Amino acid sequence: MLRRISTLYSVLLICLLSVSLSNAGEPISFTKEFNLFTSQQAQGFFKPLFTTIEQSLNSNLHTIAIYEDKWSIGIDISTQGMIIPGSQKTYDAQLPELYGNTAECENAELRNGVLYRNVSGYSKQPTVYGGKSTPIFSAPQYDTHPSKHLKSNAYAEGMDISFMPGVPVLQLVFGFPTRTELRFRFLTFPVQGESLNYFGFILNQRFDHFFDIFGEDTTMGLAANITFHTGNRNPGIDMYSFAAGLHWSKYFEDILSVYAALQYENMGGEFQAERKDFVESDFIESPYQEVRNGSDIIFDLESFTSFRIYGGISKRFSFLELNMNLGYASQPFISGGLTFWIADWK
Amino acid sequence: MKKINIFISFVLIVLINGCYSDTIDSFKTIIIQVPLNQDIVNFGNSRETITPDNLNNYADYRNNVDRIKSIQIYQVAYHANEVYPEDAISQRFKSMEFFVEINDKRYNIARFEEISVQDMYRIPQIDQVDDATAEEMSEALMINPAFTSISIFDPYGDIYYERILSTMIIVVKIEIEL
Repeated sequence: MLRRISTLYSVLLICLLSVSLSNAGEPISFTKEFNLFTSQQAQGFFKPLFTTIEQSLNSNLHTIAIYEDKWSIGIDISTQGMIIPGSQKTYDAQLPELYGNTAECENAELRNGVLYRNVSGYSKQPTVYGGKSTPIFSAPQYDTHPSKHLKSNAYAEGMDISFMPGVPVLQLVFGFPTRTELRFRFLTFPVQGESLNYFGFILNQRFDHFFDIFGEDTTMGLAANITFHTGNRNPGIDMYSFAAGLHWSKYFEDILSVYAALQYENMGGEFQAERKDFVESDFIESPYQEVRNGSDIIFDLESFTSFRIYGGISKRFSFLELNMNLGYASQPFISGGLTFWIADWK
Repeated sequence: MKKINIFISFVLIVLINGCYSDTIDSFKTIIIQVPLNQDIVNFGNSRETITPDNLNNYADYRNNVDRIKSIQIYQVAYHANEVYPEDAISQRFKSMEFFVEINDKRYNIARFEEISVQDMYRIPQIDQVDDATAEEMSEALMINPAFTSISIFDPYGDIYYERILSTMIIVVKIEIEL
């Protein structure tokens, strides 16, 4: 069994090395319909989608908190679904700097049947999960720079999504006699011809027994978890995420276990894409300098979620453990998973 | 109890897969809105102005034509840029109507009433196409991207403008396969 664990670790190390030695490939390119986006608009439009991805990655980091003092190996698969709140269906799209300056342009928008004149600063537009967008019509006051560039602008519409499935997660689970559990994820898949490599490392450590918190009661456990994920496509995507939390569980003999948890999480990194087949003359009418120049779309990766609170149930059938969670985060979620316990021994 | 757990698991998997399928379908297309700027010259000696055009003249249509699933006129704005003679800026109209003609059929896309040249001189006036008209035009435009813009002005009293140089901005929704 120890030899099998060593082999597994060797395979993991080889994967890590092969990734680290890989050379930079072709940049990510946005197809033509996205050429109208500025970097700020792309970030706002896609932020809820990145939130869904971040929440998916930080789901199913554990089940019960009663980690036993034995070795164990398992494979776990889980899936999640997120409810998209109304607050994540719109974002504030930055308007051209001189919109609202009536010496340079007069603009107006017809929003839900109401006419607004000379809008400036930001305009509420749909995210990828939202609905219709509202164009802003603009009449330049002069035929010279900068006025002549201050023309009308329109925005992408959302896809009217209220429930979004998350990214399914497949992970290896290792239990140690120190009442420690390590979960490891590795995934590689092509993104426009280049590999995106994802790693996730999760550490769960039971600690209630150190402080005799539950006394004689052996049906409860308290543990801490710490997690780090990284996803990289060179060039184009550089993502990291960190999570830490506490979870508690209670076992009801011959019935099931229940657990509850509180978790902090975040996401960071950068996304960069070039504008595919950009032709300057095609975008001369855009009021945004960035679009007229065909500049790369670059934005920081962010998530709306900082905390989650959730509870779940777990039921073991021989080598199979079934779990289901309900939780509240910026995107309330439901998730479920199966763990196949391959072996355990003292 | 075991059978109930398995049943609940099955239901969850089916539900989540069902939602997954619906959501994957949502991500098959994206709708972008694109403003098409059309320059128009309205002459005082004619109430009706006809301007032929074609969607292929616009990059957003041309660049995506092989992946377009639908195209729909959404909102229309109009503003005057120059008026000759200059004092004709006070010219008032009972109505200004704008149409798009596709395959010899006219569709009303905008109407402004009780308006003067001054009201729209470098100030956009906006109207929205009703859903039924937009749908009908969409079917026609998918077959034939060539269209004609028609503006009909109904002035109060005598016409004393020689010409009005203006811009009509048609915002179209283009549904594109990803």
